[in-house]
Order: sequence, then structure tokens, then C-alpha cells
Amino acid sequence: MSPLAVSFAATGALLLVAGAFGTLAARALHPGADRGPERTGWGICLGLSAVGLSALIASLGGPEPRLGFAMLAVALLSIGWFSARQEAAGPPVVSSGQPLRPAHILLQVSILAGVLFYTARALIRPMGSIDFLAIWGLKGRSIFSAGAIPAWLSSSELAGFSHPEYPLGLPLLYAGIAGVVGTWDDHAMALLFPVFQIATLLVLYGWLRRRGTERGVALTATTLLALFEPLYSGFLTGMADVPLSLAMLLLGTALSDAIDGTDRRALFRLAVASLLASSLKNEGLFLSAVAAAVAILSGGNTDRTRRFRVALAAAIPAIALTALVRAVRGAAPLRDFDFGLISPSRFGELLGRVGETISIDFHIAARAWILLPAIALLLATGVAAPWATRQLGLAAAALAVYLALPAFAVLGPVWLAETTLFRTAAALAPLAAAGIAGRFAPAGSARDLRS
Amino acid sequence: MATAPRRFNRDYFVFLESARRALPPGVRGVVLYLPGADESAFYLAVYEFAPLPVRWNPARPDPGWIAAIYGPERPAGGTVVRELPGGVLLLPPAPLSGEPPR
Repeated sequence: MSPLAVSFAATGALLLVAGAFGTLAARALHPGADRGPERTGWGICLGLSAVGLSALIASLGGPEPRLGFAMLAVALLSIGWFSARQEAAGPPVVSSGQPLRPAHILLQVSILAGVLFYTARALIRPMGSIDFLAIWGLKGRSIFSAGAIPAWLSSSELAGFSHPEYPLGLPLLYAGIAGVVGTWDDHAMALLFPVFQIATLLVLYGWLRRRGTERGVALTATTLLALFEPLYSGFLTGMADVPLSLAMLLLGTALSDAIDGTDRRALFRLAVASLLASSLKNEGLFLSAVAAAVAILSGGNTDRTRRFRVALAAAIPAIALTALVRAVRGAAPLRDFDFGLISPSRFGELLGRVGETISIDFHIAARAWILLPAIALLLATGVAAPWATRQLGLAAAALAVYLALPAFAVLGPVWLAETTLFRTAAALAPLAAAGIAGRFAPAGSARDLRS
Repeated sequence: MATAPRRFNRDYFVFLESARRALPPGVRGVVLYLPGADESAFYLAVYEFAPLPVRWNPARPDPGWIAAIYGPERPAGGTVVRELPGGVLLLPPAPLSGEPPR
């Protein structure tokens, strides 16, 4: 067996074990027999978090990642066991009972094909985008090799190019995988990315089904997402966009569940999602704040106290994590942006940049010319449902910021829009898929509203 | 940051790998001298030398840092740690206070 094959086997085995233990523990987030796909998707996230946490613990002087992960795996197992015991005494769950049609099987095969295509794209060569080398991979490899978080990674002079202001969730996950497997292999580690995709698809399908969407619609949305190459590309493999797209879906779905009070664990899921999203990218912190605003502004049958609690569950974990990291590592400036442009003395300059930004935004949006009319048509033909519209609201808020931010780019609007707009917008696809598909659910079908 | 995929210059990669393996213990960082200004080459070096910090074409190397010079030029002085495929590894005090080798 070649060293590369051994590395692939070890990494694959770790991801399987982490996913399995995480899925057991995810019973605490998703109790009930009808939660299989969602629970597995969330469980994969919990398992991977344990791997990343093992690197963090080791970097703080705790046990080395292999032992740390073993201890965390036992903790996950214990959580799963206690949750299963509680669940056994709970009410029975009624199955949806819709028959599987040939078209459904075809869609399932298409989803599998989407996963296989992405796996091939991700594994065709070692992870190697410039952002992986200079940011995510650099930090992960440094933490793994040093057994700690090197102080120079926080230095704007030595590591400014690697954005010290970015959260360390993904680098810690890389370092955890390398620590548990015992070697740094940026080829085998790419296996992680199809796993992120699988988790995203499971959460999307499971959530749509649980909220009453017909199987065919849920499968179609999942298929389209699985085959969405702008997100699941070889180019983005290694960067934070794919895991962030998963975390944003967790946040959006948990937000809707919490506002509607679908179950007692929804608030807890929202807090976990807020933590995960803000640990990956600064956009996660922003989206958690937007989620809190959505909760406060949501009307309907939701009482004010509940809305306030939901807003706190969305905002507090993200804010607390960000504040803790800044307290420990120091506050690093957002080096790509010049918000001094907002001052009255530079209003003329800002105005010119806004014009330039609008122009480049349209230029880049034109590349998605085939996609935009299709989305518009789907939005026009579906029926608004608050639980689905919230996903679109989160995606729209993020998109609006992505479209506007180039005006403040230090290196100019064209540079920022050209390098980030398409991929950051692509990462909103899971949220958009959930929001659009939800518009095709039968009216008043949001079942599972037991409290 | 620009996000073009990694384009390997095989000779440069071999140089970096050889330099990484030849780094003496106790080195605090690497100063990298490249002919020409290629950001992607710098980022590849930063990644390869992790967890050591890397400076690109500084006027003077910091104490305790080692110089990795890619290309045929050899500055006078300094202690050659290892001749490498495509370059050399030099230990300070190296007379690198002037222009980087071209």
C-alpha cells in the first residue's frame, strides 16, 4: 500500500468515525425517529468539531490530538446514550409514509452522482488554491507542526497576508485531522470537502421533508444543490466557503425552527449553529447578527419573549466566541477594507467607488445569466411561507453585503469583486435552495410543530 | 486575495522541499530571496516552511533566521548550510544587507 493510499485510508476512517460518533451525539439536537438525515448532517458537524477541538486543546497544552479526540469521542458517545435514554420515554413519531416513485430513485441517483463528481473534483490534486496556501492551509499546517498556535500568525507584519482577523475553525480542523492521523497530507485531507457536501445535502433534504415539503420537491432541490459546481468545485476545495455554506444552512434552518417552536431543541441547535458559523468566517458572525434581527422582527404567532430568546440564541454564541478570540489573540483590523471612506471628507471618493462597484457587480452577475432568470421564475411561481422565506432573507442580507463591500476594498472594487463575489455568492446556494424549495410545500404543511 | 489555483514550477517546488528538509534545528524563520516578484511563489514558500514565518526579499535577515536563495546567484559571505537543487540555504550572519540576488 502506497503512503498516499495509507493517508487516504486513515483520513477517510477518521472522518467516518468522527461522523458516526457525532451522529450518536446529534440525538441531543434532533430527537425523534423521523430526524435521520438531519441528525446525520448535524452529527457530521459535531464529529468534525470534536476533531478541531482536539487540536485546540493540544495547542493550549492539553493532551495530544489523538488522545484528545478519543476523550471527546467518549463524550459524544455519552451524550448520545443519555439522549437515547430520554428519547425512549418520549412520544412515538408518525412516519410521513409517502411512496418512493421511479422519479425519486432517479433523483437519488443524481444526488449520488453530484457527490461523486465533487469527490473527483476535490481529490484530483492536492488542495492548492492561493487562499489555501496563504490562509487556511498555512494556519492549519502551522498549528499542526508547532503543536500550538504560533504567535507570529497574529502579527500583521509577518502574517498580514494570511488575515489574522479570520477565525481559526477550519485551520484547527485541518490541524486536528493531521494530528489524529499523524501526518500532514493536503491531498488526503481534501476528503473533508465531499463530507461537508454530504452533510449539507442531508440537512437540506431532512429539513425540507420535516417542514412538510413533498419528497419530489425536496429531492429536486437536493439534486440541484449536489450538482451545483460553482460551490462544489475543485477550486474552492480547501477554502472556507464550502463549510461556511453548511454552517449558514444550519443557522437558517435552526432559526426558522426556533421562531416557529417546532421542538424543544431548536434553540439549542440555533446556538450551536451560531457558534459553528462564527468559528469559520467573519461572515458567520454577521449572519448570526442578521438571524437575531430576523427573530426580533418576525411577526405572526410568535410572542415577544420567544422572539427575544431566539435572538439571544442566535447572537450570543457568535459574539461570545468572537470576543473571546479577540481577548486572547488581540483584535486584528479588517485589512482588505477602508471604512474611513464613510467620512464626509471622502464622500466624493466613495461615490466614485460605488459607481465602480455597481458596474463590476453587474459584470459578474452577467456570468450567472442562465441561473438568475431560473431563480426569478421559481420565486415567482412558488408560494411564500415564513419558515422558508427566512432562509431567503438571510441569503439576501448576505448577498447585499457581498455586493456592497467592494466599494470599501483597499485594492479597489474590481479587485475584491473579481476575487470574491462569485464564490461567496455561490456559498449562499444551500440557503437559497432551502428557501426556494420551501415555497413549493403545500400550504399549512409545516408539520412537526410539537413543543 | 487573488485565488488562482496553484501552478507548480516543479524546479521551485523541489527547491522548497529540499530547503525545508535541510533546515537546521533552532531556526526562527526563513528569509526568502526570489528572482522576480511572484506572490504565488511566496505563498507556496510560506506554506511549505510552516510553522516558521517567512519574509520575502527583506533588506536584512533577522537574527536567528536562515536565508533560502532561489536561483544561480550566490552572495559573498555567510555560511552555506546546504547547496540545494536550484538554490542554496545560507546561515546568518549573511551579507544580505544589500539588494537581493538577481
